[in-house]
This record gives sequence, structure tokens and C-alpha cells, in this order.
Amino acid sequence: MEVSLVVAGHSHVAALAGPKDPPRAGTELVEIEGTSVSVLQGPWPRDVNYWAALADAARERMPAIVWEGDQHNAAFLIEPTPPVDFVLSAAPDLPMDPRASYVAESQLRALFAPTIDPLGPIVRRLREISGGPVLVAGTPPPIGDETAIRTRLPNDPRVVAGAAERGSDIASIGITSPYTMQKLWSLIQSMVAETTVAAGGFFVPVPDRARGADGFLLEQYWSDHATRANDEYRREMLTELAAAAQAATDPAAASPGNLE
Amino acid sequence: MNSNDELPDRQRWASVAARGLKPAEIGTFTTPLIRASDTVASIGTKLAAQLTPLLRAEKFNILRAEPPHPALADIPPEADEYLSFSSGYGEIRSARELLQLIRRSSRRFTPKEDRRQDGDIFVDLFRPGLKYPARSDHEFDLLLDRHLNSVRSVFRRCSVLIVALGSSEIRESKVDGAVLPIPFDRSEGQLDPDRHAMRTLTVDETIADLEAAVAELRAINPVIRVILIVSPEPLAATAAPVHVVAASAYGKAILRVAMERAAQLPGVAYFPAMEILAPLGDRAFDAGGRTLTAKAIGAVAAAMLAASEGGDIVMALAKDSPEALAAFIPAPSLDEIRGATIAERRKKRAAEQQQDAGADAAIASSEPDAEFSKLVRARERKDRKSKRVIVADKPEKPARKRREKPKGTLAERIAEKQRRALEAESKG
Repeated sequence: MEVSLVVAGHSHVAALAGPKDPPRAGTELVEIEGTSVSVLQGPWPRDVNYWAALADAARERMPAIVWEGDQHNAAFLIEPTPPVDFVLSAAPDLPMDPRASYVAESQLRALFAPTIDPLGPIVRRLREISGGPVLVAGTPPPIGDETAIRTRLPNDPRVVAGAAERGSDIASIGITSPYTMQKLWSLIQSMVAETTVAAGGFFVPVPDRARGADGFLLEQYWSDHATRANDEYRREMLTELAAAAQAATDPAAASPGNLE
Repeated sequence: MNSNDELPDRQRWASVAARGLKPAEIGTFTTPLIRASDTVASIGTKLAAQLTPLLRAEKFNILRAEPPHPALADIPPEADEYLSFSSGYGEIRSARELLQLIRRSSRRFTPKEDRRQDGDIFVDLFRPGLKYPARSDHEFDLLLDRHLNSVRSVFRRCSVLIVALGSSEIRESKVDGAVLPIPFDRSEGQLDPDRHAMRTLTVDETIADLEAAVAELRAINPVIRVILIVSPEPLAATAAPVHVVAASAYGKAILRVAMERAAQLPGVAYFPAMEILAPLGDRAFDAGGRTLTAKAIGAVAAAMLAASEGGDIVMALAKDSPEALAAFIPAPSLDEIRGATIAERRKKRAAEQQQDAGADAAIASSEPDAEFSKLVRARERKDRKSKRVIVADKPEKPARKRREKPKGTLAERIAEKQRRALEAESKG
């Protein structure tokens, strides 16, 4: 029997919900046609009522959370001065940006932790309420083609505003090396996975089939935004979540973990 | 001179006691310790770190390499110990550690044992308290390389390096002689007798280490000047089978002797922080007896400022934190610093600078490495004017009339005094 899922969380949820606009007030469960997945829509930023609505929905559906996932773009897509790079302990052989000032992965962990730590209590609470597994979904990896990123920057109001703040125009502003962005993304995925597992949940990473050999988002999943994936990616991720939900209910998957 | 009475006031305890102790007089310097144009770096014990904010407050240019990246401004800062110095080397306590760091920064020495894996992290054995350690060997290598480059850039860019050392006791690797920080805290790891040994450096070793340190600093930066200080803080513990107070005094005595010798090198000065604070005894420390009070640090800084270019800035310090000086410098001395002595000193210094500038210009026009030649020249001047003292250069008082040497032994004189007193009493 197919498991009913309720997907909820931060900005990447909107991509999973499809083109429908979120309600201006209150929350709304949007059924995704042809699937057993519903997406919990609600106003931004997420407030206590939104998470309460998820808790209610979790009594009947397995919750799947999309947690943050955009911190690297917010902090680093526009290149800081000096540029930053680091060694990712999980993939220490990834190339380093020779222009960059090297920082410690543990410093970046400290930077991202305040946005990731609150996930743990939410997973625990949802487990108590639902009495079953809680999934946490990975978020889209970055695009690896710098030219493709640049052409998409004007579609991102946050980047346009950031460039204006620095007195630069969007065409000439420096952007962080794609490999550094991939490392930052990977670090965030690892931290979310660690927090999820520690709280007894299951982490559902972005499927390998969505990423190229170099780890970047495959071109077929690019959208017109530098930091968002397209509708095809949405379908892949929903399929992945549905499969993960089945796997999580399998007695063999009784212990929480990374559903890779 | 064949009598104490003929010596300058500052050389006689009786005069010093009568006039009140003047910390700024204790040092003997032939040139300003720090010049307004200098870039100052610090290394060593906490005292080295504690002095620099006071120097910065007086507009001296303090070098700070390895600043936190601005994109990480929101995370908790690195542990104080690694933020307080010109680079993130943490406390350096012995001459051997100083030399070792210079050599590591030049890649002339690479310790065989430099890290310990502890779960997900790789602890730097030379900087065990780092808040943001590496999480892989590769990251460790890269962060260490960045750090050592930063250390080398400090040595290359500063014109004055303040070196405050506090211990002669070291924890030495039996493998390659590397000196590791002594783990006062159990969490920093226990001494492994198979790999490490505790011992106290000898005077000769310490002299050799300091002289080598200066030579190797000069190889990096030919014009660097070094100010050597013995930190007065006692040891937290000793591995030697003696009382910690005895070990502490012994270690500092070794450093003091070695620094005296090293200060004979051109461009190296000894600054008497320990001597300035010694008369204060326990009052220089907090209730725990090991940490210098803010007042004590202020007094050392004030004396250092007084010996530096624009010595009158000592007044600014006194104005900002009157207790820093008032507690230790008796009023007449402070008045003197504020008053005519400053004017006299300025006048004399201006004349000297004019004279020095002429000589330096001549050297600069004739020799390729003008800055270094200036140092040599300064050294020659020092030798010529061995009695020249910038601080407290009051005109010498005329020799006092010599008292007649009393007759008889001390016991006989006391007995005579008592006899006279009894006679006077019986007459009365």
C-alpha cells in the first residue's frame, strides 16, 4: 500500500508544490496529482501555526520536511571579499579556489548550525505525534556552469538586491566558485542529515540521478533561477520521497538513518 | 667612582627609596623602544598580548594577521588565546618554543608529531585549544600551512616584535626534539613518558635559542627589532621535583640571564617588566596569585610608553586610567613625568635625532641596506654613549659630602649608643 506523505518546510517546498501560489494567510494542504503526496502550503516566514498544521497533518500522513537548504546561496553566492573556500572533510579532494581565503569546515558548521539545529526538536515532536517515521528531504545541488549561473542571476531578486547593496551591477558582480558552492551545499546536506538521524528521523538525499559525475545539478533539472531546480526535478524528488516513505515503513529500516 | 654616594640616583637603592620608585626609570635604553612609525607585533605569554591593546590605544600600529573572515563574523570568535596575539599561535612560553615557531614558519622544521585525531576532529598539538579544529588530515595540512604563512608574514612585516617569555621548562618530544605546549589541563592530553620528556632548558641553551631566534628573524626581516621581556606570572605547575615557586623563580632567572645576553645583539632590547612589578609583590597579581592585575599591566605599559617615541604619551594613559599609574607611581614621579623632565627629554631627544638623522642619511646614501645599517650605527652609538639613558635623564646631582666612616663594629656602636642614652636618662 502506498504511504500518504505530507511535505512541509522552507522555501524549496514551494518548488515541490508546483506552480500553485501559497495562501496569503493560514495553511493549505495541496494534493499533488497522480501521487499520494500532499504539500503543506502556508505564508512566509514559517510560524508556529504552520508547524502546528504540520503536526495535525502528521497524525494521518507521514511527514517529510524540506529544511532550509538555501543558506549557502544567501551567504556566499555573491562572492565575499576575500573569496572563501574550505576542505570538505567528506570529499577532501575537491578542487580549491586558489584566490580564496581558506576557512575551517568547523567554522562553516558554526555558521550554519543556528539554521539547522531547530530541525532536531521538530523531528522529535513529529515522531511523537505520528508514532511513525519522519523524513527529511535533501535540497537541490548547485549548478556547476558559471555562465549559466550568471545568466540566471537577474531572476533572483535577492542577488539583484545584494549586488545593488555592494554598489555593483549584476553583470559584473563576483560570484563564488561553483566548486566552493557545491562544497557548501554538501556540508549543509550533511549537517541536516546528521541532525535528522540524531533526532530519530530518516534523511532522503537528492538522488544521484539528478547529479552529474562532478556532483552538480544536471542541466536537465536547471530552472530559470540560479538557485532553484525545475519541474522535472520536482517529479524526481517526489518519486524519491515516495520510495523513501515505503522504505522507512519496511521493518528492515526500523532504525533511523540516511535513506540513500 | 669609588663610593656609592657618587653614583647617579637611579643606581643607588637609598636614593630610589627616598625619591620613590619610578618604573619608567628602571630600563636603560639608548634609543626609543618603539617609534611612532613602527609596526608592532607581539608573541609569547599573556603579557605580550595584554600590552598591545594599551599600545594601540596610544596610536601605535599593532600588527594583526589572520583576522577572522568577515563572512564568519556571526560565529563565536576563536578562543581568546589565539586571537590576542599578532597571529593565532597562542601562548609561547619558552625560548625553545619561540625558535621552533620561527623555524616552522620558515618550513625549516616540521615536527613529526603535530596532530591527534579525537573523534571527528584533528587536534593541533601545538594549538590544542582551537575552537575550530580541522576535520580531516588534508584540511589540517591546509589550515596549518595558512597559519604558518601568516606567522611568517608577521615576522616579515613587523618592525618591532615584543617577545614575553615566562618559562624555561619544556615538554620535549623524544622523537625529534619538538617542544609541545605543557598540558596543564587533563583534556589537553597526558604526558606520554615514552614519547615526551619534561625538562628545564639551561642558561646556555636559552641563550643559544634566543640568539638563533634573533638571527633567524633577521633572515626573514633584516630590520626587525626585538623587545625581550620576562613575564612575571609564576608557573601553574612544574614537573621538576621542587616547589612550584622555586621552579618558577629558577626558570625566570634563566630567561633573565639569557635575555641580558641576547640584548647585547644589535636591535634587541630587554624591557624590565618583571623588575617593574617585583617591588609590588602580591599586589601585582589577582587573588589567585598568577594573573597580573589590570593595574600591573598598565604600569608596565606606561613604562614601555615612557621609553618609546613621544614618551609624554604616558600622560594620556594616566589620564585615561589614572589608577593604572597612580597606584604604582608615587605622585612626585608622575609630576616629574608630566613636568619639566618631559620637556628636557624632548629637547635632548630632538637634538639626538637630528644628529642621528645626519648619520643615517650619510649611511643611506652610501650603503644598500640602509635600515640595517641604521641598526648597526645605533649599536655603535650605544657603545660610544654607554651611559646615555633616555628615560629619567635628570642631570646628575653634585657628589654629596662623604660622611666620615664610623669607628668600631656595629655591636660596639650600638652598645655605645645605649650607654649614652642611659647616661642622659640618669642625668635627666
